[in-house]
Amino acid sequence: MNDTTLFERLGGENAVNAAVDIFYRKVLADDRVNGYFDGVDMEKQIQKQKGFLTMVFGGPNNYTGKDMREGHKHLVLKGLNDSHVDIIIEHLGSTLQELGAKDEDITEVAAIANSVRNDVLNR
Amino acid sequence: MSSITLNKQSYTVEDNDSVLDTLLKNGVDYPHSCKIGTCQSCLTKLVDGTVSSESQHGLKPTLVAQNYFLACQCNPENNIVIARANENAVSTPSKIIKLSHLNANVLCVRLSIDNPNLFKAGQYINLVASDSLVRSYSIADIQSNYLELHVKLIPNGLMSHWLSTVAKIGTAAHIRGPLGECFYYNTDNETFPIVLAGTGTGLAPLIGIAQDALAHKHQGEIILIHGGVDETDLYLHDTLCAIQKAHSNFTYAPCVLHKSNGIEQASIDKILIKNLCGIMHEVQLFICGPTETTNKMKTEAFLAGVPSASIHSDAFITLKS
Repeated sequence: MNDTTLFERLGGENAVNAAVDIFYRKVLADDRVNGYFDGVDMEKQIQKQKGFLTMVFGGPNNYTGKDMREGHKHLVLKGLNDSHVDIIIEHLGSTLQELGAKDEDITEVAAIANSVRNDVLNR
Repeated sequence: MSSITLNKQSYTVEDNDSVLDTLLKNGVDYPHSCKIGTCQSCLTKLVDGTVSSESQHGLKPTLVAQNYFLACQCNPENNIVIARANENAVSTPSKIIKLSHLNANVLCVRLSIDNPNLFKAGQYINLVASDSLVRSYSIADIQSNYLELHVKLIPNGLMSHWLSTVAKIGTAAHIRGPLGECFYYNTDNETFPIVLAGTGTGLAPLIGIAQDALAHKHQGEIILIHGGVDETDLYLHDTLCAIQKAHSNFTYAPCVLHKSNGIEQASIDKILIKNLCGIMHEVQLFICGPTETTNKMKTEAFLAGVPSASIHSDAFITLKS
């Protein structure tokens, strides 16, 4: 391993910008999860997804467990569960694969995404 | 040492602090998240002074053109005056110079202005009838001495009532704004195709943007799709047909849900996707109108392959009383 950070290895801000459309398109096209995005404003959602990707790519962020809980509370009431988080992490992985990320970096991203699972699911 | 002024309150910038750092250190509750210029939560409007181009990196050109910057990426070298995004609207006195019907439930309202350069067709303004009666409308046309709005008459709507019964030629009102980033922008004279789609009075900003592009001699193709329930919703039909006749690169594509003579019967999102075919990656797409149809069209265009950054939209919100 070298001493660069995960965020640097993935390509930093440019990687976030390249990934956001690919990732969000996968999510919106997936009938297993797209119901949770009904009626949301796309522009605002793209900004939120950029914040999320910055965090899981290991970039600087100010996400707190509280934000994650507040932001997903209404979705947990509508049935959001572990299977949906798994699907999001799966789309995250295939997005990074498309962008040519290394397997070990993808694993690291998945681990960061996993670390907020309990906050997202309000447990 | 430089200072930042927000809402008439000044803050001194210490060391190499950013605008955002300075505000947060002073206890200002200011929107932010990533602090590295990616999430754009701390979008801020520059009212006076200058900011570095680095602080505008990654912003849509339409935002840069309106002096927006990112507070977290800006280390001010001189004194600046700023405003939170969308709280920067200034109010100017105006009066009504024309009121006429475009169809049974859409009113054409012309408001006098002194400085047409402040506005861009497609942006919106707040029409202020009184302190308690304020509504947002898109700018359909800008001439040297007036702005034109298309107002949908809403049953029991307060502004609808005011415009129909109280307002007359010469009645005073205020214009607050402009706001919004849904307008024609093409400083490098590129020839990208433009597709504009909307239902009802979503036509107002769209025809404004299309006319602005034509006035700037836009060389790419321009397709305007207007949808309605039936043909009575398709106001300015003859005007749009005339524009199409006068400009070889302009296409008017009306569509209606109910069966009609001569007008295509289809939902607007289907017509939109059909027209985007083959130009997904180059197109600049403008979508306006009521929230539900705009959300649907934006999502479908995005899923079909239009980059999110190429989709421009200001959804209309009808207040529920």
